[in-house]
Amino acid sequence: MARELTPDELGQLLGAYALDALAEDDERAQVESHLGREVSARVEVAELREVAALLAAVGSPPPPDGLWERIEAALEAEPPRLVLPLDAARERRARRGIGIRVAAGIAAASAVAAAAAAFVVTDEMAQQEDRLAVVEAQMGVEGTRRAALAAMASPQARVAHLEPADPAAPRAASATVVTMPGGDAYLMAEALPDLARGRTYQLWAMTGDHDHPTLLSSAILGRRVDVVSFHAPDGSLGFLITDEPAPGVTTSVRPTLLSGEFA
Amino acid sequence: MVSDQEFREASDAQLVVAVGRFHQGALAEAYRRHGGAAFGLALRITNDRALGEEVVQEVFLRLWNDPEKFDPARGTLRAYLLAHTHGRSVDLVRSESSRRLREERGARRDRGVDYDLEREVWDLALAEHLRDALRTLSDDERSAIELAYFGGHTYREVATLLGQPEGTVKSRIRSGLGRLRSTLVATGAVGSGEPWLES
Repeated sequence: MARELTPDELGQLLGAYALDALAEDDERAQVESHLGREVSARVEVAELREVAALLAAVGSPPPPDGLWERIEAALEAEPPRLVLPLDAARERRARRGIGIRVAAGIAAASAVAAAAAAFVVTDEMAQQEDRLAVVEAQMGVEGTRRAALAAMASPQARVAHLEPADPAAPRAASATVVTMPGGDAYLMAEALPDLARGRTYQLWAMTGDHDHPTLLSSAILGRRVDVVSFHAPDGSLGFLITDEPAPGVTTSVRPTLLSGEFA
Repeated sequence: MVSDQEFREASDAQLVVAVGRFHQGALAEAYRRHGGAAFGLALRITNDRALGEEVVQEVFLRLWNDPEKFDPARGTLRAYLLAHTHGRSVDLVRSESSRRLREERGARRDRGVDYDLEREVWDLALAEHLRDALRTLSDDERSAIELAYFGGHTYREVATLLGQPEGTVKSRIRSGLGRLRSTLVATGAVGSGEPWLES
């Protein structure tokens, strides 16, 4: 390892670091440990990267034809639960290998291979399952809650209280849906228990005929539900919530957990 | 289901939440907003359309698979996606084989990017501010930043290319980017707030 750089010298490297322009791993490692210690250095790198991104973004050409279609195809080839780390191309190839082995194992209907494959998939799903909770915490659930409460206070709001569909259900879970003209809508859940990994709550809008409503999937809620914003379809009569395998289903065959119509 | 129109009106942070919910339309909208910039950057660095496309594909697949890696408290989605685009492109061009390939192509180098500064109103206003801000840089600062960022060079390589001391180059990169930022903040083109929180 080369000599230890002084804080001043590390500071001088922040611009080059922000542009991935450090040549030596050792220099980079020292800058990164400096960033771990110094908030102001982290802020500076983030700010310099914003500026660099502007240089790249302004006047950029449209992306090439067909690239989105290839990305879309890759999404289908690689289900979202499979982790695809960008930083480790080798690991990525290894994981792709796992994916292929999963498919081959199931195709061969080998019980052993399928069990091993199921384990791998479950493990990878577990890593992905918490993403909803994490992403939403980061994007500001509090902001959504404030928006939901503001909507509720609006005279134009319509409110539906969702109660357990089975009156004998022991749990005190409930939810409130608020919709605004135009379809902006919020769901606030109360005491809805966390689901097991691999499951997700799903919200459905009841539309059409009152006695035989058509259910439209309105949101995949994740396995932990607090406050969620979504779009309510026109003519919604009310809403219901089911518990489905992640990442949700197009048609539910599961019993309704909570349901309610507009007051 | 959320319509594509909804996604068009959503903020970047809302899009990432929707990506977290496996809404493909949200990823499509993020791509519509930032895919061009990502591709333009990858192409400038790699000088190879196929490599550039591969990088962009990886960057958006990563957003799809790991949306929680984007932390809005640490910056914009654009900066996040472009930082990954940059890092990945640089990794590719710094590998030996592609470096050779790139040098061979150096002679007939064509950036191949026809910049359309009038793409959007947002772009137009920002481009104006950015042009003004770039004028506050010395030629040396501008060259150092361009070679490092768009050329994918290390600051040592930049120093050799410009025939300047390494120490001068690294401080020019830092001071140049810093001045761009202050100028852009002063004109209101970028926010002055510091949303980056202690983590």
